[in-house]
Amino acid sequence: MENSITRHIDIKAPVSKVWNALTDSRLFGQWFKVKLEGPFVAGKTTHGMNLSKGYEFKMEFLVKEIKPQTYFSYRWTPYPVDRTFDYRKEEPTLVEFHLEETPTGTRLVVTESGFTKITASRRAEAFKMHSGGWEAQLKNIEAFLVEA
Amino acid sequence: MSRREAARELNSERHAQVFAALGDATRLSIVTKLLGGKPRSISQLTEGTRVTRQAVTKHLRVLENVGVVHSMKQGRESLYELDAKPIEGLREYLAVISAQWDRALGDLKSLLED
Repeated sequence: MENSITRHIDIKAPVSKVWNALTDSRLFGQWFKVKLEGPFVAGKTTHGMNLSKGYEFKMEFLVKEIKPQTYFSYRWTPYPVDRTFDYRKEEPTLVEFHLEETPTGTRLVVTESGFTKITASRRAEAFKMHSGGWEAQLKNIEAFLVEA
Repeated sequence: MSRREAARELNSERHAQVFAALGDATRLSIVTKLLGGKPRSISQLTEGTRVTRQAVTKHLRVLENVGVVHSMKQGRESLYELDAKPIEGLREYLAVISAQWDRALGDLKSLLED
């Protein structure tokens, strides 16, 4: 089991075009199916409404970093699906987009991380405590589950 | 399936709480020790660690609350056993999120290549 998800896609379009589709909140809304109020600005929160039928719910994008043409990241909070559980206590996950120029256009890599909510200091502690460290332990669990 | 839908479906596993329970080095090491499938006592789980018996007991309770471990009585001792189902639930949740990203990126690709 991983603490993050990484997916990529090759798009036959120049980096600048992909960049605009990611960071112009109106264009982002088009393919992500979310109506966003206002632009993406580093350090600011952009509010939105998911438009998928039957799943109209509020979303929050806490924009972290915008490095023109190469990197865009935001945090978002988990959906309050279960009313008995206080999701505000949960750390939002981090979504990162990396753009790379390829001979045919652009490779877009998206990483979402932070599902296991371990803080950096705790991770360091985990590495000290166990020779294999945090990632190795997650791999052990993964291996166990595959065999099970 | 939307992520919200998936989250709802997997809600019975309380994935968020399972994630949180595993997001601790001591608890993760307890889970690792139980991976072999053999039930272990608190003493066995404390052995060779720098953590106190009380701390291990507390961490076991957290894991028990989210269903990752189950306890059983053997004589005067409680033995703890791993239940992989909630962790499987997390894996499914991550798989759904991956599929969700694939769909979204596919939509982006069609938007830009058309």
